[in-house]
Amino acid sequence: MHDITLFVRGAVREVFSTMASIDITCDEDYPEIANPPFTADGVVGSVSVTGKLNGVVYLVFPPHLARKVCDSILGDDPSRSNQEENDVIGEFTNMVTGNLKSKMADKGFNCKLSIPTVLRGNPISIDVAEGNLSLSNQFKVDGTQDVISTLVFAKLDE
Amino acid sequence: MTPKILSVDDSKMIHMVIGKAFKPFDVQLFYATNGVEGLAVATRENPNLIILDVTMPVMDGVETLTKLKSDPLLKDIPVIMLTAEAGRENVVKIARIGVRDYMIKPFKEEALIEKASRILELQAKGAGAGKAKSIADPATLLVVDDKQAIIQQVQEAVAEYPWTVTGTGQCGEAIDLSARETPDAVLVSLSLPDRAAFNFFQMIRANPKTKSIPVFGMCIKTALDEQNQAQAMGFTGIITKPLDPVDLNYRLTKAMNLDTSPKYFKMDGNLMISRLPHMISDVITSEINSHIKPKTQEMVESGVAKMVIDVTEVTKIDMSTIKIMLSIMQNCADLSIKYRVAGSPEFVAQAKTFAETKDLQIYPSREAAKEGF
Repeated sequence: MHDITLFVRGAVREVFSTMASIDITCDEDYPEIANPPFTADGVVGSVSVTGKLNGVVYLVFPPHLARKVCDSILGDDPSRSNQEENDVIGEFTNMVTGNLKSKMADKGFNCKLSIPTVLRGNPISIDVAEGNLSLSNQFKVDGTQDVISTLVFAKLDE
Repeated sequence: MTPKILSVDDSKMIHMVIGKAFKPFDVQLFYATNGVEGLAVATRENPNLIILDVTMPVMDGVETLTKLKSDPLLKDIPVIMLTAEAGRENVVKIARIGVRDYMIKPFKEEALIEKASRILELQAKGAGAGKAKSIADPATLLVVDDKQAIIQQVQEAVAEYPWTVTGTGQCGEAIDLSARETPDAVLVSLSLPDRAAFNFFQMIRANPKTKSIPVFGMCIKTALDEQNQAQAMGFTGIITKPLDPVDLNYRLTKAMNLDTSPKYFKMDGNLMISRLPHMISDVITSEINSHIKPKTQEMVESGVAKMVIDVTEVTKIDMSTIKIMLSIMQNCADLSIKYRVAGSPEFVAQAKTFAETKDLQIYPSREAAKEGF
């Protein structure tokens, strides 16, 4: 298993548990190597990474889960705007990528992060133009059928 | 006074998490979404703590922190940095600029409160009712310096307040004194022999009774090593010798979280008197500006609708004086408060040379302005 996969798994679990009190479990059977293009449905947070690791980290949420995560942090609000949801998803992606960045820096792969962006759509096709890494993870939200996916499309400057 | 906390983060989620964390406590929260806004709010509100994100658009946290630390009015405000990046390089970088503490995202609300309470005295809502302190209340300052002249200069600088200044040249005695009666603030000379000031500081911080007292290090401007070491250890601030009484007053009152508005605003019967002092420095401008809005709002809420702006002590008008006067007059106009201005003949003569004040009716004394108002 690639180190990046391990780091992302730890980071996603920690962010969900700490910020939203939502426990998630990694689906060990889900293929680690992604086969782009990846088709997402819902809300996708992304943060670009540049430096010795170059690429983009994505967090993919189904629409109702994005809402649920948002409600668990900001409180229930039936009239909540997409903008507030985008803010939460963007911040989650930022925290996961920040965590990954720190772990990679400890291994000598220093990089910088962009501010997060959030995409919405059905479907959204995410492809990779160039890179030697296409890594994916899937997490199940405990006690539900909800899943969160992560993608790292990147190039490692080794 | 209720402590002011400024959260600077581009994420509304983080603002809400911070708001939720501090909800049980008696604090005033302010929010900004980037460094530029954050610096503007910090200048206006003079917060007691800034919680600053690293990654933000327009101006990031590192640049904001650098600007805060280079501004004489803002440099003493403690900053807790929030970052999603826990890497050593990042942490060392922000620690070097003078951050008081940092938090790695994701974080628990309790962890933030724990860090904030090391810097501020957080009181549960309602618990502090009636305890608000102002410059008119008694306070105790402990000055630790082996030069008696410095202790005397501090005494003279704060003579206008009902404060007791206790001086000693020995850190051991200072520890005993602070154990007997907890001072409200401490000034200690960084040049005492055998690094005594730094050991003293560690002992003060290690004692639960004195751990949150503001402690300022005093040294000459060129003693950069001592200043850097004190900053790295977490001294509240550095006060350079020769002492500037205005700067010393400003920083002490701010560190002790005292309401300074009685210096400039006080009730006189059914009138509010706003008094501008003889010299208006940058720190005084900042201090007065922070009081104008709350004091005028407080007037309206308590049914007071008239103000005399007393500038009789001001002998030289400059743009700072004009700006403060205009700001007071604008706030009065916005809230339908009637005002009159009282100034000396010298002031009247100079006021005529400024476009903003040339047509202003100025009464020759406070009493004259009050008459028939």
